[in-house]
Amino acid sequence: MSRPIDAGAVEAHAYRSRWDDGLFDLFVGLSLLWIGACWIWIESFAGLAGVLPAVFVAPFITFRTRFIEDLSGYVRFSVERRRWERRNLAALLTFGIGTFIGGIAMYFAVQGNGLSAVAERAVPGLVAWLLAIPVLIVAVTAMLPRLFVYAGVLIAGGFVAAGYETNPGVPLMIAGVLVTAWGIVLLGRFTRKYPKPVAA
Amino acid sequence: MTRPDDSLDRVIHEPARLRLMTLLFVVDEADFTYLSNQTGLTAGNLSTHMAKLENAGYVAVDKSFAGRRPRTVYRLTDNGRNALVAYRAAMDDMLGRIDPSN
Repeated sequence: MSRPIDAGAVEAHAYRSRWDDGLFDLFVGLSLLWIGACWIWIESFAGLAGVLPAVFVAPFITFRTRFIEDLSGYVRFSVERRRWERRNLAALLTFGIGTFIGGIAMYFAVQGNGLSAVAERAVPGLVAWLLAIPVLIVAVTAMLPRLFVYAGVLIAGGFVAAGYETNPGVPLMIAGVLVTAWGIVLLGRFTRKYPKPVAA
Repeated sequence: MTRPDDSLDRVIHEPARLRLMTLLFVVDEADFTYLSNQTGLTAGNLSTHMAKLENAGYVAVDKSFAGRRPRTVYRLTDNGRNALVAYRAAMDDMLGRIDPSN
């Protein structure tokens, strides 16, 4: 029996396919590797390591949009979808700014008093948990299961780091390698699927 | 006597055009490359189908340039939107008469 047209499913599929190029995964993966490496090898710069990826978000979005439109074509989604995207982007920005301000406030707060024993044990996992939140926000925005997996890897990595008292950069490096590798796979698939633009 | 399938819009009923109409129904607009990639239609086939939809007044076409490359952008007209909704209602009506238990 023929199924009726499910416009919502068609739209959701079209929207999800806009994230199949792997560029976002590469951006996240390389950012995690960068932040993780800073925590491990340039400890004095660790707290500010996240600023660099944040600065590159806007140029990355512009580059990605052009790259995708060149190969897979231009599409403008519905007003509702764009509103939903803007709302989640605002949440992402609010979280980023909040984390930055919170981090600075915490730094000054613990200068004199130090951390409690429980908080100190959680520190190795804290960075991974914090970075899992923006990944979760994008996962909800893009409705992509693999981004939930990335966030899950970060959260689990945070617990392992806290349990074994490793450097906070270790779970980031592990997640970064996995996400970057998957991004390369997706980018390879994407460029094979859309080798060159179609002429009208 | 009218046959049950007379109520079906034959411009939309063709599978490739139904796919194109459905895609354009859920987005604001899309260009030729996007529609070709999403449907798997060749450039020639897609041009033919889009011309039919344009002649029926179901899609509006906007030709422009993206940088130095020409870009043909399609969007569903109100007429096209109403036609697809009516097509679905006609299909529902027709298929609703089928009893799967028989």
